[in-house]
Amino acid sequence: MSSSRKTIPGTSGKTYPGISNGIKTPPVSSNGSSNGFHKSIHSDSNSLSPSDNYGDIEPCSHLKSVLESNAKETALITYKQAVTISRPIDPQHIYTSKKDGSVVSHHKLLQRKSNSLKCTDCSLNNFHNNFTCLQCPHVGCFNDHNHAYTHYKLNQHVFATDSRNGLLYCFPCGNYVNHPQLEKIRSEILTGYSVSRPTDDIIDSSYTDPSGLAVSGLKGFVNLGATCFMSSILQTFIHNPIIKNQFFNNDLHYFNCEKNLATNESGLLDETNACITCSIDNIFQLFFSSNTNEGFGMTNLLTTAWYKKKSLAGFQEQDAHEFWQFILNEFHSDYERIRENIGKDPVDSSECTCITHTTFSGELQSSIKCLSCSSITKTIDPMVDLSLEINHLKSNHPGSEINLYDCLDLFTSEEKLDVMYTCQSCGDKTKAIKSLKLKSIPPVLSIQLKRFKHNSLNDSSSKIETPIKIPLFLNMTKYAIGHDAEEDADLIDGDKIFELFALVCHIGSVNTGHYIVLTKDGNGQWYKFDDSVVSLVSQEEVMRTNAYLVFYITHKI
Amino acid sequence: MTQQSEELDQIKSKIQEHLISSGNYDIINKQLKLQLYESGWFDKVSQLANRELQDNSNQNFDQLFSFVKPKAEELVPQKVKDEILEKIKDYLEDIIQ
Repeated sequence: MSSSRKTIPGTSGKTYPGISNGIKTPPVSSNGSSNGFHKSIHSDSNSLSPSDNYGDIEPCSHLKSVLESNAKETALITYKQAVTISRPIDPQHIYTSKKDGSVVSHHKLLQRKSNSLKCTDCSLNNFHNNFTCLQCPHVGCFNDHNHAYTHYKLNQHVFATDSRNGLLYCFPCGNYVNHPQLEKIRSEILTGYSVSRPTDDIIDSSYTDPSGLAVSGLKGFVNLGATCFMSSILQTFIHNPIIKNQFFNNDLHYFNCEKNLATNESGLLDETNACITCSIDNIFQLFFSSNTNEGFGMTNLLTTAWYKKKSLAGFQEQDAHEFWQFILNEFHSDYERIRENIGKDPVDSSECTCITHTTFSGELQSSIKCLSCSSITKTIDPMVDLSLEINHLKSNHPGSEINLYDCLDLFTSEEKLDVMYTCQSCGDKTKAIKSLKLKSIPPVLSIQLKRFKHNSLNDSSSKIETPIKIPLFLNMTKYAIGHDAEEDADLIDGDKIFELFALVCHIGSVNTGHYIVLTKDGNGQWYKFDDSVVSLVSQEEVMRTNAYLVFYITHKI
Repeated sequence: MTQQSEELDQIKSKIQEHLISSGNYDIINKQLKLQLYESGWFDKVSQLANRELQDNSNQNFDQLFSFVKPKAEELVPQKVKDEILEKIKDYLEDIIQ
């Protein structure tokens, strides 16, 4: 079970995570994204951004009749104003007045917003959570006094805008309502990019609704002989909203992959038709359109994987994490191959928009402080996951269990280097202190707990069973650059919050173990996949499970 | 409105304005949200709302909201209620003479 990792000499056994062999990674310039997010998930104009689902809300009859009447233009203008007021004040942005271009301070802006969102009847601004009437300047509260509703009753003003989410509310229907024309305005103002959706007639004529079972994609994998290390990892991809979105929009690969188009006379898998992206694409297609819940036999992927990596062949249990890295490597090289096929020049890894890089790629900043002149040298390295030491770990809070934060604290703590370091600024060969921090965090944060230890003396492996408590939501604020781990221990940056959505667990001993995987769906329901058996599990059971690999997805608050 | 509730509203309004302009609303709000997520409250309420919608799919937002709201308030762990209340009290102690 020992896995090879790049080790930097002198780090006293602490291995340095990096993109595994196969992906060339030239050093990234220090002008990476400063807000902690990988830029390519937003800048690729062809990808449909998985933003909120409010665009799916239907219009009601009242809304439709207004938008078909002469009042349409006025309604849209007023709506646009209402949404603009709802926009949260961005601390990074500098606001200027339209009148004379002078800078408006955030404080003043906040005051203006508070004043405009005060309830007309009781003056409570309810922390900017009120309803602005669409037909007159009235602002109404909905908690306690419910003045928004009273206003509707008295004046028959049917619509109001929710000042928190920018959605239109229809009082007679008692529902939030939306319409493509409204959604265009709302998404542009509140999210910065406009989401365009195909018109209804195209959808109605070309597609039939899939069954509930197909939509959930809930299926197990039949164990074809110690293949649970593969099926566990695959489930973490299938139920990963970002990867799912990419495979649902995989036309670029599908139509340009020569292996997909190659016909093989004997029907065997070989160089002409072995492609991991195609195999996994096939799995997505089947999982999300199937009407049965019988287990899936992944023979195609198995054979393809064996062809691509000989060490996977055979029926021994392998390391799930190594398989995960293998698949990520394949996604990237397949993407590069497709780019070549369509005649595009290869891009730098830092700008690669393959599945692997858009989903998992982040940056680690390593700071080395020279002990004689105190100067700090910073280097940035790309990463796709974090490998955390758990051996000899003690909880930072005596009496309670070790949790993931303790592992992250250790990972980012200052470490004295064993090897003498030649300082770049003062030239002395001295002792130095090294520490790691996250420069940018990918949308999906993957963490491996190093449970498998290789004993070089007798060439054996052992497993560390220490229970580590995994938080359902992870606050990464203090581990990001610009924050101090101790001072900012309680600080919360809304962009640095992550939601646990998958855990891969290894049960049993090193050589005779079994993998199971737990994933969470969009409704907060957890499922356990044990080969072909899929079952519901409670939150409590998830928190009691001893995980090996954990996957978090960004969840802004 | 009675005079008492008018006075209450006035005090509430002042507190709300001060919390926002001092930036404390943002901080306390984020802490509350994080605790609600971490304790699993958000997921439980999600499931609750979904199940209710599955059982009675013929309801509007108002009806679903009035069903979920009291149960959601009940599901908030006492620990979270106490901690956030403490933070708000601390903040108020600083500003009220």
